[in-house]
Amino acid sequence: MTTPRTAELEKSAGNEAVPSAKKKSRTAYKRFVPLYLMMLPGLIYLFINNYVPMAGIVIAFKHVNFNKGILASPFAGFSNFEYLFKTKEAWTITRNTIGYNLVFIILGTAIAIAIAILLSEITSNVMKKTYQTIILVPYLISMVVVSYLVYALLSSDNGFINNSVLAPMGLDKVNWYTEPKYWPLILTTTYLWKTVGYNCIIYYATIVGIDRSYYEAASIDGANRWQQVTKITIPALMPTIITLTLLAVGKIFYSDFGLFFQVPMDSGPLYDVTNTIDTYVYRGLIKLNDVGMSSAAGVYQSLVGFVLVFIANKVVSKFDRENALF
Amino acid sequence: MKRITCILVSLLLSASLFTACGSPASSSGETGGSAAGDSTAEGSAADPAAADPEEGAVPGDLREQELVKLDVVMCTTVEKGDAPQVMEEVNKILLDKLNVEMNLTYINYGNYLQQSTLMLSSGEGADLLPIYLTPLATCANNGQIIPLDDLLEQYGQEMVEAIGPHYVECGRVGDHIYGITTGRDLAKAYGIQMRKEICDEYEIDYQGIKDLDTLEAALYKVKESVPDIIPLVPSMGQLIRNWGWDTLGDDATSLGVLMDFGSELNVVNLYETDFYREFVTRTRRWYQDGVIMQDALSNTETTGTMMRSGAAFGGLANLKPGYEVQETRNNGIPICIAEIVPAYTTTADSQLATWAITSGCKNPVAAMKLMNVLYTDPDVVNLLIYGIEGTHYVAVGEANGDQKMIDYPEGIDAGNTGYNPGGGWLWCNQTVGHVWNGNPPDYWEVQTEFNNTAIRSQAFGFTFDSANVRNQVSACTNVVGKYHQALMCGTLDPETTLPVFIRELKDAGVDDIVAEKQAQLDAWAATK
Repeated sequence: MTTPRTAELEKSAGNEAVPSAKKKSRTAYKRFVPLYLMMLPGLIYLFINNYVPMAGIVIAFKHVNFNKGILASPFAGFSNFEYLFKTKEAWTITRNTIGYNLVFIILGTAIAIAIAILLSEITSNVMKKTYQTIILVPYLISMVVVSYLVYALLSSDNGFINNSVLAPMGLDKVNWYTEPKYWPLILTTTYLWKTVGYNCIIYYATIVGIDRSYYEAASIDGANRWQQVTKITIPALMPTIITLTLLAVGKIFYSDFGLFFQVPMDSGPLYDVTNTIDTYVYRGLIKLNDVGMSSAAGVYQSLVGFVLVFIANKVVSKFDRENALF
Repeated sequence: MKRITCILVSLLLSASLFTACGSPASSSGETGGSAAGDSTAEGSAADPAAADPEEGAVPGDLREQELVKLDVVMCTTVEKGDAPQVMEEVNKILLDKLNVEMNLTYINYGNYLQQSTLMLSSGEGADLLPIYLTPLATCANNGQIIPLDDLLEQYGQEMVEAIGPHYVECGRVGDHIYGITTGRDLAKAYGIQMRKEICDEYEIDYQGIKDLDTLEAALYKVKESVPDIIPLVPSMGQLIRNWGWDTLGDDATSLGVLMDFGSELNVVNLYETDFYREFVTRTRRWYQDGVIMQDALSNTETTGTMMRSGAAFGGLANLKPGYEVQETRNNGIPICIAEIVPAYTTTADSQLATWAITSGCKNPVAAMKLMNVLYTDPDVVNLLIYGIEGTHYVAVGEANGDQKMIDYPEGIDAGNTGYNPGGGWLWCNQTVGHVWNGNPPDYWEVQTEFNNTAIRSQAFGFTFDSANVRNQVSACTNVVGKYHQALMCGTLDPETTLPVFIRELKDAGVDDIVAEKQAQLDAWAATK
C-alpha cells in the first residue's frame, strides 16, 4: 500500500531537486524522516505491547515456581497442554467454540450487511440517525446486564416468556436453564442482537464511500434496486468483508467469555452446548491456579488462530488475489 | 532498498535497546527473587546466630537495630477514610515495640484474588498478607510464600499459643508450615436458617428439626400453610456446600472425601456413595413438590436477601455460634436456626484464610515479629479492626479478658464512620480484642469453645497436593460443575442423571484423584 505512494512522493521530490541519482535518494530519505519519526511511537508501542510479551510463551512449557523465577523454573515439556486434549470434553469444547464462531461469522456478516444496505437506502437523516442509535445500543450494554435481560425473559418463576407468553397460550412452562436444546438458538440470537449494530457501522461507512456515479450509471442503464445492490454494493464491499472475516477467523478459537459464561448463568446442565475452550479453562483452573496450564491454553488458541488465518488467506488469494490480506 | 535496510537496522537497534532495557530488569527481578530466597535461607539459617547475641544483650528485646518498613496487605469492604490516622497510631506502638513501620494497603474483596495473586507473583508490594481465596497449597508449591517453621520457633511462640498449636499445624503444606490461620470460627455446623415469624405464626416446631426427615416435614408444612412463599431457597445457586464430609482441602468440588466427619481415613468418591444418592433423590422430590425454588440453579441472590424480601421461608446454612444474632442484625427480621449437622472441623476450615510471608519479603524475621504482634497485642488488633477509640467506637460495657463491649459513638453508624474496614475475622486474631455490642461478653470464649469441642476429622492437619493429578482435577472440576449443583437443587433427575455423572467422572479420572489422595493420606498418617 505504501509503495505507490512513496514512489509518487519520490517522483515529486526528484522533480524539484537536483537530477543526480545519489542526491535524489538522500533528499528523498530526508523528506521521509519526519514520517518515520511519526511512525516510531506506534512501532514502539506495538513492539512493547505485542512482541515483548511473546517471550511469555515459555511459561506454557514450565512448572512455574515464583521463588526461582520464570527462567529458572523447571521445564514441563508439553505436560501443561495435556489437560486440554486428554479429556472427553475436548471434542465438545472444540466443537462448541468453532461451531458457534462459524455461525456468528456467517450470520453476523450477512445480517450486518443487510442492515447496512437498508440503512443506506433511508433518505431521511433523522430516521437514519435514530435507527443507527437504536441498533447500536445493545453493543454498549455489558454482558452481565445482558445476562439478566435474558434471565428476565427466561426465568421459571418470574420470566416473561413462561408467564406472559406460554401460560396464556395454555402451554407448559419450560425450564430454560436446564434444557440444552434451546441454547444454541438463544446464544446466537443474543450474540447477533448485541453485535450486529456495531458491525453494520463498518459496512455502512464503506457503502457511504462508494462513488454515487456507479449507481447513477446503473439506473440510467435500467438496473433496479436489487441489481444495484448485487452488482455494485456487494462487490464494492468485498474487500471489507474479506478483511473482517479473516480477522474473525483468527479469533475463531477464542470465545466471548461473557456470552458463554454469564448469559447461561453458569448453569451446569447446559454445559454440553455452552462450554467453550475459554469457559472450560476457566472452570478447570480456577482452583488449580496454575499459570503454566492457563498459558498453555492461550498458546494453543493463538497458534490455531494463526494457522487458520494463513489458510483462510490462502483460500482467498486462490479466488481473488487482490483482496487477500497478504 | 537502502531505505528498507535503514528501517530494519533502526528497528533492530531499537529492539536491542529494549531487550537491553528488558534483560537487566528481568535479571534484576530474578536476582531479587533469588536474593529474597537467599535472605530467607539466611534468615532461617542465621537466625539463631543473629538472634542470640541480640537477646543476650537485652533479654526479650525484639526491637530491630534499624527501622524496618513492611508492607502489609488486607481486604476491606469500604473506602479507606481515616485509615492513615489509624495507621499512625498503630505505628506508634510498633515503632516502640519492634522498631518496625507497617505500611498497610487495603484491597477491596472483589479485587483481592486478582491483586494478591499479582503481588504474590511479582513479589512486590507485600511482605505480609492473608492468603484468602487462593489455596494455601498452591501458593506454597508455587514458591510464592516462605516456610515459617524456624521463624515460628524463634519469634512466634506467643502467636502459636494464641491460635492453638493444632490449628497452626493446619497451615502445613508438605514438610513446612506456610500459613497461620486467623482467630475465627474454625469449625462448621450445618442446618437451616428460617424466618421466625412464620415459624411462630404457623406453629412450625423449628426446635424439633434434628435431621432431614424432620426438616422435610417442616418444609412441607410451610408449603401447605403459606403456598405463596418458597420454603427452601439456595444461596447464589448453591443449596449447600457440605453436609458432614471432609473434602480434604477440596471444598468447591469435593473430589475424593472422607465421609462421616472424617471418622475413618478412607477416601471415597462422594458422588458414588449411597449418602449422596439418597440426598439428591430427596432434594429432587422437594424440587418436584415445589419445596425448593424452581429457579434454584440460576438464582444469584443470597438466602438472606430472599428472606428479607419475603419471597423465601429459609435456606440451608453454614452455622456458627451467634449466627442467628448476626443474621437477625444483617437482615432486620428475626431469624431462627436449627442445627442438623453438628459442628466439625477439617484442615480446610483452618486453611480458608491464613497469614503468610511472601518470598519477596526482604526481612522475614521482622515480618514474623510483626505477625506475632498482630496475633497477640490487643491494642494493635483493636486499632486495626475497630479504629481509634472515641472516634470510631466507644466502650459501652465490659467484656471478658480486660476488653470492652463496644459500639458506634453517638451519631456514627456503619454508613458514616471513617473507619469500618469490615472482616475482623480475616485480621490475624480478633479474639484478643473487643467484642461488638449485641454479642455476649464471653463471645470469643464461646467461639473458642465451639472450635475446640467440634468433631475433629481424623485427617485434621493433612493437606492434599494436587500436582500429580492436575489434568484429572481440571477435567473433574468441569464435570462436577455440570451436574453437582443441579442435582443438589433437584433440577435434574438422579435416576437418569446420576449414572451419567458418575461415568463422566470416571472418564475424567476421579479414581486417580481418590487413589492419589488415599496414598498421600496414608503417607501422612504414617508419620503421625
